[in-house]
Amino acid sequence: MKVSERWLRNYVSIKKSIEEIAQSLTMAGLEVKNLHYDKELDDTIFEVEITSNRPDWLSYLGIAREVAALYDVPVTYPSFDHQVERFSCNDFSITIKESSLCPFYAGVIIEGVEVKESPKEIQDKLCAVGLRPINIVVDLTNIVLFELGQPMHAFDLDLLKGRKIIVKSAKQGEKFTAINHEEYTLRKDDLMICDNEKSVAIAGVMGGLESEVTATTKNILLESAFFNPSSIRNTSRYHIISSDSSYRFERKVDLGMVRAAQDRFITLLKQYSTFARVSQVVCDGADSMSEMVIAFNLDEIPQTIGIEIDSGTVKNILEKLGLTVKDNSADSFKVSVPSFRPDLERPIDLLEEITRIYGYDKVPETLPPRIAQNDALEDKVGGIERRIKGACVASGCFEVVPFTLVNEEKFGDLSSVQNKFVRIVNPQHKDLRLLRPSLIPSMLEVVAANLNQGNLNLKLFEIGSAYLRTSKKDLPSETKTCCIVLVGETERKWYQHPSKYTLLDLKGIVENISEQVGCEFGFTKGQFDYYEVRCSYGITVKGKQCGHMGTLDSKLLNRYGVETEIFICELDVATISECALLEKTHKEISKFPVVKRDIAVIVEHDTLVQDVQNTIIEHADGLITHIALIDSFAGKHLPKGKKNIAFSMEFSRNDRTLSGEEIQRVYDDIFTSLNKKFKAEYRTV
Amino acid sequence: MVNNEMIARIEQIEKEALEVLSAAQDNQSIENIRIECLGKKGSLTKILKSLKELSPDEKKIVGKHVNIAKSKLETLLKEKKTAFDTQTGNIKDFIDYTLPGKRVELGRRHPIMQTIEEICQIFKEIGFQVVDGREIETERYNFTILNIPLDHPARDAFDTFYTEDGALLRSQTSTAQGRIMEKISPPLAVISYGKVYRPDTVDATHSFMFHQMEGFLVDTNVTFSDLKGVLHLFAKKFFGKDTNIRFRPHFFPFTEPSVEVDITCFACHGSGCPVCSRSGWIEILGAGSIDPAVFEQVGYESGKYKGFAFGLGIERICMLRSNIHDIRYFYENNISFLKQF
Repeated sequence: MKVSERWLRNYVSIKKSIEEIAQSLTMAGLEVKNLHYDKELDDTIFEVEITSNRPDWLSYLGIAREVAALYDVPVTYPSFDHQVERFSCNDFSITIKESSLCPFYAGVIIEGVEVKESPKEIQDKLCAVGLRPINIVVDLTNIVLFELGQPMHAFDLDLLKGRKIIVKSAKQGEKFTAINHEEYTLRKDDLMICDNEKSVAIAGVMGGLESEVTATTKNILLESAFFNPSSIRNTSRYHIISSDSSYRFERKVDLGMVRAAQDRFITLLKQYSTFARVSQVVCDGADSMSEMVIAFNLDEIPQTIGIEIDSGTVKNILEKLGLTVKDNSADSFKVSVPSFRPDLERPIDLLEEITRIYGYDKVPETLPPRIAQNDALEDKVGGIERRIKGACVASGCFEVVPFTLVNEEKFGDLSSVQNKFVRIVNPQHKDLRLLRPSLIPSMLEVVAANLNQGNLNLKLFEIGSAYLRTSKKDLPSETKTCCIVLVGETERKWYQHPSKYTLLDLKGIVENISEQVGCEFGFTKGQFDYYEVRCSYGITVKGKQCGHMGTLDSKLLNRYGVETEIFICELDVATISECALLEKTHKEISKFPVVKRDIAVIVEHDTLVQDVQNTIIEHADGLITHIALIDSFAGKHLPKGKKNIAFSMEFSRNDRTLSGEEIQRVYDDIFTSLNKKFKAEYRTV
Repeated sequence: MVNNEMIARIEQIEKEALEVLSAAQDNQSIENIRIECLGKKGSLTKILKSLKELSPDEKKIVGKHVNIAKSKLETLLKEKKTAFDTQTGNIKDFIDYTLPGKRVELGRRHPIMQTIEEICQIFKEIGFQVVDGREIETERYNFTILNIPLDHPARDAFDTFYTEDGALLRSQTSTAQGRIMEKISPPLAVISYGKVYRPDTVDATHSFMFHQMEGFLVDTNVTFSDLKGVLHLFAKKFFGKDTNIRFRPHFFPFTEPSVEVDITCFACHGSGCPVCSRSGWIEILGAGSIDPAVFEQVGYESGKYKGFAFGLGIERICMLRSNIHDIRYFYENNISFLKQF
């Protein structure tokens, strides 16, 4: 809300500069922004950000009350005393059909009004708060709205049919044109102000175009009411129609101010224009309310806030805020809350107010008496996540944080779980309405963007969630997933030529992760979404599927405008976490000599190294303590369709020294079994 | 006598060699002396070879002299050579230590994740436990438990994405409060972080997806002043030991009293600069004492527990600290951006 310094000072007389007042208000929770001097208006204007719990601050009187409380000075109330004779008006009736949506509605008829342009003084006030002056009647309802916080509406009485007002729900599908010239299709949920024939206003939100007060208007009906906040909010949000009036009604206006606002209007009208006569109030419902009394004990302040405030200070603060201390015996308080503070209902509400005015800066800093560990809370996945991320970073990968909302059009048809997709009904952008079912689409967006920027060599990773529907009843699954991608080649170095990334570079990173989490991964051929058929592999841990890797489908790459090959993998963090072995057990290192031997054999080109290695270990009598592939090549020195593979092996026992014959026998056994199983032969140079 | 002559000869050779050596200007002259005296046909070598013609007694005396002279000369030659090498440098031994090292290239963590990790670490040191939370949530955890009624203006701050099945994407990490408190009884000191979503148009300071961290502490005997103490401790550990904090009254439906927390500007230390809009203070988080209504919602015994909660926006803190002016950089993940952190 915009506030004018001149206008504000009408209600509180204080010598402090506006800058100082602004600072005090900010520190009291009424944040002041954009304070500036307006030369044209010769006034200082500022904006206040008003939190939704303080509807009373949505008026000059409310802000003045706060300033008065902060500086301990009195509030100067405006005059409500118009001293106008009122005629009784028996031929006009007001009926509330929905009393829960409108507990009180009051009308006043003013006849023979001179509807002229407002004087400069009024126009300036409106301009200061950002309103456009219209005519004296409309302008004064706005002046009162800003002054007291009570919205009112003036109808052209002669355009209302049947000398009656009925407050009732709209007919479903009813059309209504408001003052803003927009047509609205109403619902049964919308509360309307109607005359004998038709709707004349959307209650509390906006008046109708047809009954608007214009320069030709002679007689007016001045409406002042209290509408149910959530009903107004519902209508305002549904129809996307907001006004200064609806803004206040949905935050709750002061029921005690409903009639007073009309008196204030009449007082101002008398001052700035002329009229023939004013009726008595015609109303329905009740504007009386039960008194809100809150009781609390003084010792609740130290217990909740951590500071002692003495009884006298507490009483003084409460009274400054306009509350009435009804009973203050020793340590207990009984406080009556005025109708303009609907936010104060419980003792905690008062404790906050007392501390706020006392000053948060006076609250000491302490530490909780204990910060206990709760055994029911555990964070196993967090530790695994850190290890996986550590392995990725150590392997040269950059962590990315892409959007989790993705464009379904680009990849949806390539997914086998389309029926489980989770979509947003109110997306910010039509292309971003699917929660990613896999991290791959997000990662592809990042890769494509980087390639477009000329970043051609990429090693990236992310740990984030993939989302899939489970059942109608349960919330969708959120599967913590690690996605790693390789694109391009290694950087050119002074000591090393660039080499193109291959799937085995990616596999190497996956193996680093496997080592970090202490469990061995298996790799199998398999068919997974988004990969090229010829290059799609499953990753397992302890026999369970925990991920997949491969080369991305070129069809998919086209959709993202990517032309280079992309190697990518996804790992399921929870499955890995279940199998992870983070606590290691020490194995005694043999005190006896280790014998190193290499074995090189020629096998068919499609023989899997893993199978050969497993066979070696199987036939080594348990003597192999370490084995590593040290060579694998095919080429012109070898027969066509063959490859040479070589392993280095270490043999030892931890209870004795191995004899040469023993090792030779094992070595021969190994070769024999390789020969039998893979038709392996020694390589003869 | 032969052996006196020989000893004199040895002394003579040594004396001459030392003279030449002290005058030597380069490695070549040193090498020449070495060859002349100690080479295969060198003067001392010759004497050594001639020892076999002497009687055992003479051999012993002369041998001793010649060996002393030899080893003395060798030492001096070596010293002199080292001195020359150090002075002139030796091409073979030269290392251009300014060459880039041969590295195993490391990757980097994303700045958002680095910030999260750093903040988490601080709260872990204080004694908080880190717990994971869901992103797709129900009305209950995002609103109801947090005392945000339907059709209340308090919801304006929490515009929300809804899924086809009527679930929603959490608009704040405070959902962790309900999720945890509903299942677990105090004492609780919890940190939970992650992605949150709000239907905001993406611009330099807004995004429909961003990251938050929620912290809360619940016990039988916790006060608002404890909140102040814990947050100041955090601010000092994260922003520097001279950092001050101030509490400004605010409103959140799930805390009371509610505050916004400012820290003294880390760029100007409070004197006023562009980073803090000349105010000397920077708002970094929202906090407050947990509203009794929340405890009621999760089914805690009325009046038994008190607590506090705080929530901070990770992007904002990271942008402030690293002087990043556009939030979109975080989600574009341009390698040139990521390499800077």
